[in-house]
Amino acid sequence: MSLSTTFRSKISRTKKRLSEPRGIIAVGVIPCLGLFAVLTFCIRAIALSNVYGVIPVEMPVVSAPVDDPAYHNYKEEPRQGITRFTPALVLTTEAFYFGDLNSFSANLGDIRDKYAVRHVDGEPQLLNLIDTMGKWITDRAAHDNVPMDKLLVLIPSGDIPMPIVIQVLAGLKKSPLFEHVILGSGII
Amino acid sequence: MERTRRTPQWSEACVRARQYLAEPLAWYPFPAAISFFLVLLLTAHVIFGTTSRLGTPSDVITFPSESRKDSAIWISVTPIGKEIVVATADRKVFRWPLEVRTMEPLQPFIKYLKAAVAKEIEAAALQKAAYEHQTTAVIAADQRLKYLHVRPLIYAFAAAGIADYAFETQNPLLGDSRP
Repeated sequence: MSLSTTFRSKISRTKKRLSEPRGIIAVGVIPCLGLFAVLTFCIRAIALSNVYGVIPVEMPVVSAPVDDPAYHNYKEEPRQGITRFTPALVLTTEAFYFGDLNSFSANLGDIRDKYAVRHVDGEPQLLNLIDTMGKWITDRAAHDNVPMDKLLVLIPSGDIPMPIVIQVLAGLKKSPLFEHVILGSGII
Repeated sequence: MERTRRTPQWSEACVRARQYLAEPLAWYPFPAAISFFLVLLLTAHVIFGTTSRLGTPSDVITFPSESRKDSAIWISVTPIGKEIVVATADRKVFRWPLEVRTMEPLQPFIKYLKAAVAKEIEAAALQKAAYEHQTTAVIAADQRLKYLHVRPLIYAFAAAGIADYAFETQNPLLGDSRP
């Protein structure tokens, strides 16, 4: 068999192989898959709710006012400050514990200056807590002359699920007792 | 007569066309495929541009809360495997271990936050107008997260100079959605 015959034979075989409609299935299937992917994302984009909201939390900052020599002469002043009497609330898997911030820092070992509202069947008793804290804050303001700052330091323990933390935050901010809630960490 | 003269030409043309069509045309799917994938790419960009929540696996809690439109820094936080995966609104992804002990793995995220805040301040300066919550960071925290996993984020915000942050919730569609 001569060389040209071999080439011709090869070319013929290649032509035959390429002329067979082998890739026609892939050509049909790949666009269909792509189309399905696009449609899935379209449906997901339509199905996503557009009604989202936020529950704001704050972080304490150190006051460092900058002098404004301009005409208006603005002056920055802190709205509220954290003191040793600022209410602190510790959230654990068993109960809420509340008291002065001092009672969870310098007086951590003293059991007489902390109050507990236990969870019932693992469910935090938020309304009960707000009522109890309201009475405590009012009583403290009347007897010990502690100002009623609407400020709270919330310290959840690390194993609390975020949905519970978020709902507790929302409940505390909704109550008339607190306007600013600060998330803390580090005691537990 | 005219018909008999045309017949050989017509036959030749048919034969030529038959030969031409019998040739293997390996290139013919490619223009269609290229066009199709370009359209696919464009559509994907358009769809993903509609909302930053699309493509992020964070499943936030359904709970009534106040809606806020002017927060510019949005991040979704999800636990995937043994990692915390943070995806931003501009499709940047940061990862660190679930129980991170040092701030070292968070440094790229802190750098990103600082750049985002600087960008917002610059935009406000150029516009000569600033929104009240322009530099508030909104966290779309997945329901599977525990507070332990979110704590490093708060440290990262503090390191980036962000004093206001918020947790995102999905307002219920039915019933009372007022906060």
